[in-house]
Amino acid sequence: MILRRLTHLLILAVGIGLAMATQALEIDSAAPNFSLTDSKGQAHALSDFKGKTVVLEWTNHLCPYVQKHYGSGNMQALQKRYTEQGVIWLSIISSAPGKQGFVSAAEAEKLTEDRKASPTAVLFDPSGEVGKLYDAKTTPHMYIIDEAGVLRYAGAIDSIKSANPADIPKAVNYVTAAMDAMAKDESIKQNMTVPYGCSVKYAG
Amino acid sequence: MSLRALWYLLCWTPGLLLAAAQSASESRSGTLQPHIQLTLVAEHQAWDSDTPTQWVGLYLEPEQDWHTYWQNPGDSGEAPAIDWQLPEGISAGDIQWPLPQTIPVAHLTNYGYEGAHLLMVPIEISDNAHFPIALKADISYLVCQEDCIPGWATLTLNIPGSAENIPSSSAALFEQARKQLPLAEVLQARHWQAGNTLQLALPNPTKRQANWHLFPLRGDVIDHSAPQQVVAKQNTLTFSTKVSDYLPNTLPKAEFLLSNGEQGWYVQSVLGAPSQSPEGVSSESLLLTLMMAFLGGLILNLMPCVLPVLCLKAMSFVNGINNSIGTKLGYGIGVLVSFWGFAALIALLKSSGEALGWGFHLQNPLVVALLTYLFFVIGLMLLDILPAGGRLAGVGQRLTQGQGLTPSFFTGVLAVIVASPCTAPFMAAALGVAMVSDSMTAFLIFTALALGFALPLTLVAILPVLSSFLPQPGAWMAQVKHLLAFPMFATCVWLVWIYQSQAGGDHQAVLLLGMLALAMMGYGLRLVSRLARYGLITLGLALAALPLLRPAPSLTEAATLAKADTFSEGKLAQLLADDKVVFVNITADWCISCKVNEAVALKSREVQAYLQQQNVAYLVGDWTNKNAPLLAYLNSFQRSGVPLYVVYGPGGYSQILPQILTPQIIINALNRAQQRADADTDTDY
Repeated sequence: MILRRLTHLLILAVGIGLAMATQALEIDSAAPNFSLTDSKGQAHALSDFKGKTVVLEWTNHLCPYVQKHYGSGNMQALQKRYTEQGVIWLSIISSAPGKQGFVSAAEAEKLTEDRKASPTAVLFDPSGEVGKLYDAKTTPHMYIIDEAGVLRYAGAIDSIKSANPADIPKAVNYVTAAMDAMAKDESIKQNMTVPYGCSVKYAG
Repeated sequence: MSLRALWYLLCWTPGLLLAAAQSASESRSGTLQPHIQLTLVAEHQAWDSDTPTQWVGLYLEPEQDWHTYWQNPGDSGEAPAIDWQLPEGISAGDIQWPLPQTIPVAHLTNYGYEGAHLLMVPIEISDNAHFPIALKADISYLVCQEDCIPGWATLTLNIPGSAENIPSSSAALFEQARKQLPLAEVLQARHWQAGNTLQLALPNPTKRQANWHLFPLRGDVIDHSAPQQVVAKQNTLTFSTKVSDYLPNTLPKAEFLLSNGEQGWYVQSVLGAPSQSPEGVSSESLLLTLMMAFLGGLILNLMPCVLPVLCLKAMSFVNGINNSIGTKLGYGIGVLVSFWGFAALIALLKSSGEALGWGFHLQNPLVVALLTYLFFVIGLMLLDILPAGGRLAGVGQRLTQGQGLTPSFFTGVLAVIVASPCTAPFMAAALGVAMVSDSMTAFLIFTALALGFALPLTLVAILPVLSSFLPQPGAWMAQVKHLLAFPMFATCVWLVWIYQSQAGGDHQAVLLLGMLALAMMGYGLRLVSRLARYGLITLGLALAALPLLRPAPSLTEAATLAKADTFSEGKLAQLLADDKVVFVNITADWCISCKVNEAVALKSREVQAYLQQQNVAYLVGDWTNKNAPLLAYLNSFQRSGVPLYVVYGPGGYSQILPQILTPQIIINALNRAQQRADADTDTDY
């Protein structure tokens, strides 16, 4: 009996240890810093943007769920609206070389131009290191970091999990809801949601 | 591209032709989409209006290596959805999801289906429905290899009314799909949270070990990619896994699908502390254990170390035709009392904290020496070397010979003592339960064992009719008796060998000298000269007493199979932390089945080659001598005897192997553990 209980305790301890080792990300605590190169060859670190609100958008232009939000103009509208307010919008590509969504700097520039997108920068994360640091699971997967460098939102772009652009007007946009709450200094009702979309095309 | 076109042609053309052929009845309508064929099918092509529930289904046939999703798609993906447009009086129920599989994508995990599958949907028909019924389904789905393609389709069925239900050409699909559905029984579970770990306990529906996996119905409950540690007991399954990052603060209720890969059960779990009641023996499994103990007792009669004694006694019953009631029941009472004595002794020793298991007396070299003498003397008597006149002599002679309560009683006692070396390997499981159960359960188990053991001979004593089944006494008996001596000597050889590993070669020589002395004594008893007789007897007794007076020190000897490490729980935990596959063998020199397994299976070339692989470790625990940590380990499996074989793999995988091994059993078990290891490195990277 005692041994059995000890075994349970051991499993529990291992489980907690495991969980703590992988749990780097937490809402309402400091967002982990990173540094990536953008499509213009310029390096950006999260710490460079202290004092500004930062939106992270994991993307893959060939993913139907990303296409849902770009094809409809929904993503571009969000980018335009918030960058005009001085928000830093970083589109991050964690697709590994050879995988869907992996693009060269020139292709990324062209995509931004063709789609009339207006992110502050498009960042490349081909090793997937930053994607795993933020536990980015899908494209799109959205994060909001406030002026103090605190992670305030992580999750889906909106409330309807589909690839159908017709669902966008019917859905609650979680990014807008969070930004509105932050502007009014209110707490964010849904600050962590299950993301939906394609899996991030990590190496391996 | 041309290859792909050919593939489509091969795979879908028959389906399309079939669909075209069926279009008259319209119980089937399909569409070929990129990488997937979708077909809306009905189980019956014409419906009896009196049947309230009919079945239709969406048959999905993804291209090879492509998959679609379960109701909870996991880390990414999207489950197929059907939006029904139905006429008045008709309503559609929920999709009946077949058992999903886990589909790893880099370090993420999805739940879904590779290969063709049918999503069945019940259609309810009320009285105001009008035939023919038009069923229109707006379908959305996602089909993925690693990249995903979403799709939409609208499919319709027109079902005519009929006097009776007419099976469609798709009826077999429904038949097959029903076998892949979770079973109707919903299991009740409790879950609780400690930090980021969710633990869940539920009854084990098959009472077996398996590759148990929990699929959460919601996406925000547990981490889909985290390993699930399962402690599988006969009555309970306990899962430990990481909670989802998206889990809301508390989780009062949760729903899961429990699967062993072949069968599935829905699980409803409520938040609650783990049950405090000890995981004792349930009444159902107690009954089973008692039956096993009874059967085991019966089998003991056939053991070579028991049968000769019993044959002698059975013959004496046949000789005495008018046996008294005491004679009839004495043997059974003797057996019962002896087993109760064991039970009491075990209870006593257990309470005094003495570490022991069944066969414990064999761990004491002194007891082994005494048993050797006992068997040797019985052997000598059977060979008529000791003047026992064909009956048991020595200490038990007067007590066991003749008719009446007392001799019968002591025959029973003797039989139990003689039986003890044979029970250890055979009764380990049942006795293991007794060891870890309360005294009352232990008492019941020993009683069942005793009843089984005493039954055959008691029947012969009570019902003279049965004695006719016994061979007629005659001259052949002397020969049989002589032959029966050899199992006794064989037992001696085994005991002497145990003694050697317990006490070493020197002490073994002293023991053999003692046996020589007993033989001398036997010869001495026949001498006419009083001086020579007493001289030899005294010398014999003195020599025989030597190994008993100088108790041999217990040697601790690790089993010496190639590449084997000595077992300890610490070592095991360390190896498992390194993601090794571990084979644990708990053995003892006095355990015959252990030795047979080692010779037949463990030392076989295939198994040795497997054990020498880099990520496989082999641990041997030697239970020949008393060893408290090993007993604790055995008890954790509800065993108190050997052999015990356990295979461990990463992710909390463990499997107990049977007590009789073949090379294939070991290799299969190691392969399964290995697959777990590979799967873990895939998903957990």
